[in-house]
Amino acid sequence: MNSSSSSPSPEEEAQLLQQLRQILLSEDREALTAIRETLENEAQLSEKISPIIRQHLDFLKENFREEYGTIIEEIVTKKLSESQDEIVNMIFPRLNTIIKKYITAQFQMLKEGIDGQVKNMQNRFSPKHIFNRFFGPSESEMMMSQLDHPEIHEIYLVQRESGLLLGSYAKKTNTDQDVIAGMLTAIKSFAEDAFNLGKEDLEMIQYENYKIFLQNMPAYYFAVAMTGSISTSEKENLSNKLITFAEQNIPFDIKNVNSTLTDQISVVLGKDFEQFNIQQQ
Amino acid sequence: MLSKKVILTGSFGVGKTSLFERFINNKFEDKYLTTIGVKVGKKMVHTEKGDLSMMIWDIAGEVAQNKVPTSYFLGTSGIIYVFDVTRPSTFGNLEQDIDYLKSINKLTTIRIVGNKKDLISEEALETLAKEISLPIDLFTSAKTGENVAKLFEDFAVNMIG
Repeated sequence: MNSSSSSPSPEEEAQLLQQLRQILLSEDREALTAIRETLENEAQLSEKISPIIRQHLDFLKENFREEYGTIIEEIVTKKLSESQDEIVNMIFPRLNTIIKKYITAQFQMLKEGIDGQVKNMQNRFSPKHIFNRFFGPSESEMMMSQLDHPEIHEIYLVQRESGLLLGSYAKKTNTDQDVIAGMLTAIKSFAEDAFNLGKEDLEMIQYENYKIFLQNMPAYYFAVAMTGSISTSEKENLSNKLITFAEQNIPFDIKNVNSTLTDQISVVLGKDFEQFNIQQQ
Repeated sequence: MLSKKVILTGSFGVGKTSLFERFINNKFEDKYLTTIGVKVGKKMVHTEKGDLSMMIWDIAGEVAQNKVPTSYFLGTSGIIYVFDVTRPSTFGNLEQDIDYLKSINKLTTIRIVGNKKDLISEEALETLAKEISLPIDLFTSAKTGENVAKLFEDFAVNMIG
């Protein structure tokens, strides 16, 4: 029988191919199994990949600015310019508080410094020093007040309930003083009513460096518009001056407000306050 | 020359500020802008009895208690209570409001004024005057200016005495 010359049956052929595949692919299969195991095993995978990632991270750390700096800078700049209002609104209150605190602290340090120096120079046992120490303004207050001294610009004498102007003094004015007297009375009434002040009176209206000091009397009030800082002792000086003026020049019972009365009071008010120095007693 | 304080009061949107602007500045604007708080204006009024410097306070919104500081009504020589002839809700509390104003300031003179008369007929105005429990002093139109000067000038004469 010559079997080598006869062709194999299909079953034999398939078997032979299978044997051939096993011989040729056995190495690949082993390698594939090893890869699968590595992939499925977290520890093994990490051992393989971590050094690569670490290497990339180290590279990024060293070269981040060169690689991404320009792109990120452009994005941040664009975002900031688009959100300027939001940023200002967010930062401003905090910034304001910080600046105020800083200025207050610096002023306090300055005052303490001045006090210290003046005390060293002064005769500690002079009667003036002893009096001032207990009753007068502090040395720092005196020096500071000279830097930002109060200046009176306008004075209004206003009937308390009606808001009608009884007299006025102004260094220069372009406004209708009758209307200002009315509006001041409205603001004063509103504040006293809104905050339930009852028998208490509004004493000061302030905006920026401009202040309106209010001296209240039973039937009328003075409104003194001024700039600069006013210390407690200067307030007292002004208050005393206004009360004395009222006692000497304003009729006790004003029933009708008329231009004759207003003009008379305005003239005296001008004479009395033109040269008045709020810092001198 | 005497100075006197006069107040314009009444519900919102009745035309107090329009009357104020018409009398003081001879202006009228159709658009409605609500008054915030109070507006004070001055007008010299010349009458046969003499001149008067009238300080007019245009008070925002309501008459009712708790809404307007009571002190606004103090020291006034006259109060003008304004209502809108086209809106019954603006004169629904008339008696109550007038009683309240009298209780704050017993000595003051109060005028009751129906504004926006240009929006309804004369017959409708007559009917309205009969329907309202208190006598109406004047019907005005801030838009056309009708009776506005008369309102304040009559008041000035009354205040000069």
